[in-house]
Amino acid sequence: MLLNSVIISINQFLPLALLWVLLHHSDFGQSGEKLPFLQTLITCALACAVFLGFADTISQWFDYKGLEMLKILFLLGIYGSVIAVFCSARRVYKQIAIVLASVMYLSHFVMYVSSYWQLDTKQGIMIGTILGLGICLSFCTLLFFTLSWFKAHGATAIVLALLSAHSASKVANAIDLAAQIDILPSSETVFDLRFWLDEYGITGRLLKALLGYEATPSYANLVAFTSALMIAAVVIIWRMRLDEQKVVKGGEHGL
Amino acid sequence: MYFCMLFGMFASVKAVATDSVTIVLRNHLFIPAQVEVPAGKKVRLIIDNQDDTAEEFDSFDLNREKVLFPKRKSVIYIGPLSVGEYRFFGEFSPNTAQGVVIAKESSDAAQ
Repeated sequence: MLLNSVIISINQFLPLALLWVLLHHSDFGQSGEKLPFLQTLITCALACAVFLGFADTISQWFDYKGLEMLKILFLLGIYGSVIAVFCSARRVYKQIAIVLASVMYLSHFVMYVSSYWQLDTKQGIMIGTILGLGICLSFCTLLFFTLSWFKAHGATAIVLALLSAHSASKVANAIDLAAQIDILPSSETVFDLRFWLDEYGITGRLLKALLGYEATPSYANLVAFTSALMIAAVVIIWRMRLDEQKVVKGGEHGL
Repeated sequence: MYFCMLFGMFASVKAVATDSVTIVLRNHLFIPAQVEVPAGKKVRLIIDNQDDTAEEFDSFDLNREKVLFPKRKSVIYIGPLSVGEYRFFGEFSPNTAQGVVIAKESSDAAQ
């Protein structure tokens, strides 16, 4: 139970924590607004509680496809919010992305804890969760300072590329969910990298959470990821040029 | 518009679902733990969680992940698969809830 709690807490907390760190560093220049920690946390908790209250019933809708349909909307919502952050860097879009991600991931963790929380297991769950949270925190702290270093050295593009890949993986994930409920057909696997790095190990799990690594991606998954990444790249380039023009105009007015 | 295009592109080549296979989750065990399906065909897995606890069906090999609510049925579509073995497990009870989908040539697959 202890080891299982460690793995589940890493699986569920890491994508959310990574998104938070990436969004924190996603600002162009000084234009961005930081996320208010407490307010976002309370909104996440409320959203999770509402979702958990209805998830059981929603899962039975549309011939047992209801939950996946809702999750597809959540995943596309996260991607859309990140694109909106690239466009305007407004705080509200960051909050929407975080709240949607918390509903997606934290709700699973709450389901696990509420199902298995018993007298003989609660100690294992508690210690496992603390260990898992510690691992997430360590990795995210490392990422936070790495991204800060990149930004300080003028390599903001790397930070934005990471956030783009992370958000594009949500679209690829949505495509897999659509195939899972037969909204889309399952396409063939393009390549198989399991001999090199599978998703059962810690490195595979980390890469999956950070960049959406798939050892056996389907054709649809790959097309979705690539196209979502390209759209994000176009938006970032457009925004960077817009900011450059503003700086040039500002300089001319200054003269 | 992008999402509609993306979904429309793949939805246009949508195939018809064929076989159904039922798996029961009881006492944190998938029964049967070994499921044979025809290769090259889409299959509908119906998973009946008879436990009092939630479980999460997870398979990296199949790229599938789904919460199985207690005392509820869930449906997952898999395939068309190439001949081979595809592991799946219950994320909440990975030591007990384990199984494998074996995709065989159509004439060999016993469902």
